[in-house]
Amino acid sequence: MTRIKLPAWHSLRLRLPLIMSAFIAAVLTMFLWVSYRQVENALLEAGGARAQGAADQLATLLMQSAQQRMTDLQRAARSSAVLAYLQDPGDATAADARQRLASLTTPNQPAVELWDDHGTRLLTVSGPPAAGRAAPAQIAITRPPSRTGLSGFQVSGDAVFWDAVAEVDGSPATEPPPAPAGKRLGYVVSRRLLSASTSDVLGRLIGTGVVVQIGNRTGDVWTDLSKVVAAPPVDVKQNGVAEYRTADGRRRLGASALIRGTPWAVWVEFPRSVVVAPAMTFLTRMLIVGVCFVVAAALLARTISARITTPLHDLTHAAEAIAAGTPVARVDTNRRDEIGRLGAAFDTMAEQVHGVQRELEQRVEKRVAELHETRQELDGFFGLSLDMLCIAGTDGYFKRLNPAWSETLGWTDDELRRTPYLGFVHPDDREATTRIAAQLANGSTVVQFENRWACRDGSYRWLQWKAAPVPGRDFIYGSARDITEQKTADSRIRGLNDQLEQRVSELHALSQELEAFSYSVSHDLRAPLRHVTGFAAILDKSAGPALDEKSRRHLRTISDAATRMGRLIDDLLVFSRMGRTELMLGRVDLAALVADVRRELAAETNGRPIAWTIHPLPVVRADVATLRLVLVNLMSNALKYSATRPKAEIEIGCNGTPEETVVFVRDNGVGFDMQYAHKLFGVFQRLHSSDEFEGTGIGLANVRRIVHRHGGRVWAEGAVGRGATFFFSLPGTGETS
Amino acid sequence: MIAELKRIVLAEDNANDVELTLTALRENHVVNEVIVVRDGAEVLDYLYRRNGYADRPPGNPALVLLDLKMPKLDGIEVLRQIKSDPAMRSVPVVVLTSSREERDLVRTYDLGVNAYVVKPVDFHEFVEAVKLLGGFWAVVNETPPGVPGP
Repeated sequence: MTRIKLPAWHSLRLRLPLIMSAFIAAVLTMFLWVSYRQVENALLEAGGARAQGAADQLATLLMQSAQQRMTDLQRAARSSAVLAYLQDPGDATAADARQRLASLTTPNQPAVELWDDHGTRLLTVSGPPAAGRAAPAQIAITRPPSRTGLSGFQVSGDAVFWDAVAEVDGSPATEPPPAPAGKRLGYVVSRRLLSASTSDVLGRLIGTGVVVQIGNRTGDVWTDLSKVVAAPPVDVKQNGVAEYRTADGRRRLGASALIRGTPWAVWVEFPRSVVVAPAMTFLTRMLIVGVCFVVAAALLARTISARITTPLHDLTHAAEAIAAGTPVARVDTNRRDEIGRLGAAFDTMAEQVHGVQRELEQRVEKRVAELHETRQELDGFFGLSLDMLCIAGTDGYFKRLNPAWSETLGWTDDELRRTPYLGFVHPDDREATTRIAAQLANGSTVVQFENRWACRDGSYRWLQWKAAPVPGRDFIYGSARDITEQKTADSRIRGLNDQLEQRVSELHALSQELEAFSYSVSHDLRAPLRHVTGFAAILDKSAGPALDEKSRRHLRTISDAATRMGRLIDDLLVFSRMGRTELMLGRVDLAALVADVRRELAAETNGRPIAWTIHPLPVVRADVATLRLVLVNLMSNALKYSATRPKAEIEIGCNGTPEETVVFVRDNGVGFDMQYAHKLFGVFQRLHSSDEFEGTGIGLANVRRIVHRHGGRVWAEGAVGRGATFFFSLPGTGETS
Repeated sequence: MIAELKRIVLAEDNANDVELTLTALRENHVVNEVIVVRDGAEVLDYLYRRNGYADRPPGNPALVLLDLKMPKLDGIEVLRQIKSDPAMRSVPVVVLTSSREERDLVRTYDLGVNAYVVKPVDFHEFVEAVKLLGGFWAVVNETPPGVPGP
């Protein structure tokens, strides 16, 4: 028994925790991923909203600021000082105008200029220079304003600025217009630097990491309020949240807002990582929790599987030990759960297996001994058998033969086994033998097959076969018997039977002839006798008185002789019929029958003294009509031959043997000489003359014929003058009535 | 009423037997006219008034005494024909025969014979048998004038 090696990765102890951990990890990963995505989306949405809010807010602030500037400028353009200067340029009005315009200057708005309608700069007012800023001269307005309102951002060096242009049209709101209204006199132009402080304010307002950019909607000039930057790579011609990837691959989320009343837009953006940072944090925490969970699950699974597999391992070891032949191996799990029950069941089983194994071993030993004995017996019988026993192969050769073969056929055992057995079979029987061999090869059993086999001396013996195939092997068991003698006897018997049948038919023909003969006798032989007696009687009547005594006696003799012949014929016919009529066998109460016959014969005794001794008689199986005739004959004989005695003594009895019932009728009459006993039962044989005792001599012949037809015997004992005893037997034991 | 006495038909081929039977009838004072026929065919001719008996007076006989062994038709065949004809069935038929053969007895009774008499060898016994027959079948028996009654 080889022990089955279990590869480590096939062990439940390892696989169970692995499978459980993998399963939990997979589920967890999926859950985490989905959660992360949802959180991230939520954060992005919130971030976008926040950016948009900031952008909107910023846009509003900038718009208000710009409008404030525009309003200040317009108010200056309509001021009387400016108007006066334009209507009447001169030093005096110039000073007033310059003063008025100077009130507009700030560090961020360093220059305010006044241009006339023909594109000629009339006045330039500069404010104090801002610290760290480009000199206002450097951003001096070089072109006459083309239109009023706010201009787009422009760049000059590091500075980003914008212009505001207000028309001076002589229609002041606050002061009476000195010139006819509607006529444009000139422009007030202010140039304003973009303030860096706005960025700090916004940064504080929105949060760290935020980038705020302002620029033209056309995208040509953009600044982060400290320097000129490239326009954001998104559509800034409308409000909206957008995301893009920077050249170094970082993703940024932002929102744009248009600043109303200006050609500007504002863009607020955050690094995307800042926005989704909480999602990453969430993911990280959940991952840590998940890993802990998986590890815990794996440990738990390992413990459980160890709890299950350790007893299984023990069980396996025990089973392997039993398989390897260790008589008893126990598990003893000491547990109360299913495993414990399994262990207990295993222990019980192991003990039973051990018990059964021991018993089996004993039985096998016993069986082997028996087999050996049987084999010896069989070998003994094989050699002893008078029948010819053989084991033949389906290859056509004998494998084993008992000595009866050599004894019967004369060939040696070797000769028989070295030649195909078909070679020994009579040529006329080979075809049938081959057919039978084929039947045997197909698994049929063959009985009563006969064929002829050659003997060494050249003669043939008839063998009768009984053969059967050995299931699953190419062998045939055969038993043959030499039936040559039987065959010869059979053919002799057949010949005798044929003869017998012929005799029977001859006998039958004879019997029919006899019947025809007796019929003829019955009809034709009696007629002449009747005529003799008839005409003798008529003659006696008609001529009787005329005849003398002697003639009359002769006439009587003629009549008596004819009458006697008639009786003889009648008796002969009865005798003949006795041999032909069919016996109707049945139960016959002999005692009753004897009593009946006695009554019938009583009439003939004429009252002479007769001593009857009737012993108990049995019930026998016989034909009642003919048996009655037997008794009538024997009893009337007894009466007849004892008639001369002063007192007749007749005894009837029965001696039974197992084979037959013997009935006797004994009388004390004249008896007979035993030397003529053989003549007693012949037809027309008489031991006494008709003068002494009348009779035709046919009665005992009838008795013999009837008894013989019953299968019994008749005989008689007697001595002259000492009475006679007649016996007849019937086969079978009679019942005592 | 003598004129109305019916006839007796005696079918017997043996002349000796005819004479003995007639003698026996006479001994027994049977006075009916006895028609003697010699074979079976003649019995039927008489009964059915054919051939030689076409002119005989009508009426069935009082009795037919029938021997079994006869030329042409035997007694058994004659009996069969008589008993199978509804018109003849009522005619009493007595078989008078020498035979004691049981099979003859059985066959004639099967065919419906009215009596079966075995002719004994002894003539006196025969006369006794015929006497019984005459009385039994009430053939006759108007005693003729001058003759003592039975």
